[in-house]
Amino acid sequence: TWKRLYLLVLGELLLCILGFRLFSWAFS
Amino acid sequence: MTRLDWFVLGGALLFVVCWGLYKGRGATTGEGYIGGGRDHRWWLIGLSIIATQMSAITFLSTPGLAYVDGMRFVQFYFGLPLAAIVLSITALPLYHRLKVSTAYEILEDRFDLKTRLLAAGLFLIQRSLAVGITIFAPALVLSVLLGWSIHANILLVGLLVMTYTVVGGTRAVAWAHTSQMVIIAFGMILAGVMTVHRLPPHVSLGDALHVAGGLGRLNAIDLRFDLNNRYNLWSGLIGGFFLMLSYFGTDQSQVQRYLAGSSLTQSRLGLLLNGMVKVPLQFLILLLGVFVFAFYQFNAPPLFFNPGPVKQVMASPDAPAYRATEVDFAKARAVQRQRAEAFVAARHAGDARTIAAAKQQLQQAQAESETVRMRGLAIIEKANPGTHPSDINYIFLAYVLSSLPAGLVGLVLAAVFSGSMSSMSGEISALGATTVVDLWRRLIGGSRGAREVWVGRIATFAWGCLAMAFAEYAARLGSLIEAVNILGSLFYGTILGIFITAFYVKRVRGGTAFYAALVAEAGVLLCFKFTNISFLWYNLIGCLAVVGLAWGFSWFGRPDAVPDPV
Repeated sequence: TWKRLYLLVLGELLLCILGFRLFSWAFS
Repeated sequence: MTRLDWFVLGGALLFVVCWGLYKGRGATTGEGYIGGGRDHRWWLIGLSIIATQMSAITFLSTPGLAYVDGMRFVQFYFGLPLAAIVLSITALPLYHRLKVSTAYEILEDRFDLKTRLLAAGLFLIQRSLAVGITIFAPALVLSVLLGWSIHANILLVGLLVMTYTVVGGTRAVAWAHTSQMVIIAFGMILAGVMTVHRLPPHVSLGDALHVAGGLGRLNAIDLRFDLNNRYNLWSGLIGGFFLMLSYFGTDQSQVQRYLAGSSLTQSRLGLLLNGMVKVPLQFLILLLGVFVFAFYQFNAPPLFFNPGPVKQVMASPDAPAYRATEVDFAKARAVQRQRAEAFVAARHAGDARTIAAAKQQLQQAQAESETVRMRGLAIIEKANPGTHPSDINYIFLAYVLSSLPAGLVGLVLAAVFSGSMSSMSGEISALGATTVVDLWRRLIGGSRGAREVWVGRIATFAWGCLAMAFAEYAARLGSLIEAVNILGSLFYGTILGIFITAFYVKRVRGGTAFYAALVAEAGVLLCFKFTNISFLWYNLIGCLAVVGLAWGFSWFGRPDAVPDPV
């Protein structure tokens, strides 16, 4: 359970980085 | 400020204090006062961690940073989720197993008393200085923009915080944090919605974001590796990771939040909640600054949002030159507004070539008005020698005061006060706890009973008074404030190095870590003095230096057969 939770936190961070990059690109 | 604003502001602050007092009642032992009864649930821990980190200046200056520099600052927080995971795996189980009240207790078990006192002492020094700045900075902004007395503001915030923090301890702090976070969230969300609503009717949210993006304000991710560049993906992921590891793992103002958890599971979940929420939260606060930037593409902004240094100019021989520059700036911004309107119209028409041409013209207009603004800034700097005047902390609140409706101004100001109070309460509570556990209980041999509650209250009250005194003194420090903010990074790496050595370098014992920390700290200070390396990297340098030196020194010490208690 804990490993899955850690992966969830890591996945969310990765999603944020990719999402922010996409957001910048979409409106630039 | 209308009567409605005063009502909202006063009501919100009164509610926070009463809620903290009500929920914090009943601490009868030192453990109950410092540990908060150790029955906190994960969501209470998570909110309390976030509220402690979020000071008033966090959300006064963050939208201002987005306005001036775009969204790069969000990268500063990328190391936080990684640090939350590492701490959940390593430090939290250890703290819970040893049932410590402060982080520094384990250093005596692992090394010796002087290493514990070094880490506790560094925390007491840097945190007490930082808490003074935490309450002074927003007081300065409010005094400049609203004419309120800095001294009265510091006294008001200090007394409100001490009312519930001194009486109720950690439990009162945590519950007051929940009400403060609600006020901050409502204030920021309503300010964002209202800012978008106040854009011209023909400008949609998408148009506003395209205008901001076209002018370089949506640059959230910078992939270039550059040691001298403060905010890029790598400084955030690596330097930020070590900073957050130290802040959340070894700074008592944060450790105390999750040590109050009812179990290891609750503490871990609270810390991981912070790891998941913080990055999107900072992104949204920066986005609020982007909305303000877009708003001022269609409305006239002042040349400089901080009226303090401008007053100095108006009293100097350069006043006519500054007035002329203001006129030029207004003209340049009028052109920029026309170009922004043309860009939006081109987007609505949908022809790609016209859009590209309109965007280029808008960027050109922005460059021209920026040139005029820099001319104005040069005049301001000349009239305020040696102070590097900045308006980043003033942009958001100046916008709120001039453009938002009655009631909402009071709510945003309540959020500013809540930010000041949430940081100050968490920090003076931790300073009090460290004083009781690491000094009074350890050096004087104090008991853990009811008497310790009163020692804790006296220590918390004393640190609160010292923080207010330092905030008063900060009014005379001027540009040294930035140095105080960097002070944290000068020591965090070293403290983290001591803890990492304790956890992982088993052959280091006794006073070895203490001497390694002193040498490493001298190295960090030399880096600060003689290099341009951005301060986020000091956390990594200090940490690696302590671990490396302690390991190296351990080969020259006498072998020690004492088994590891940790």
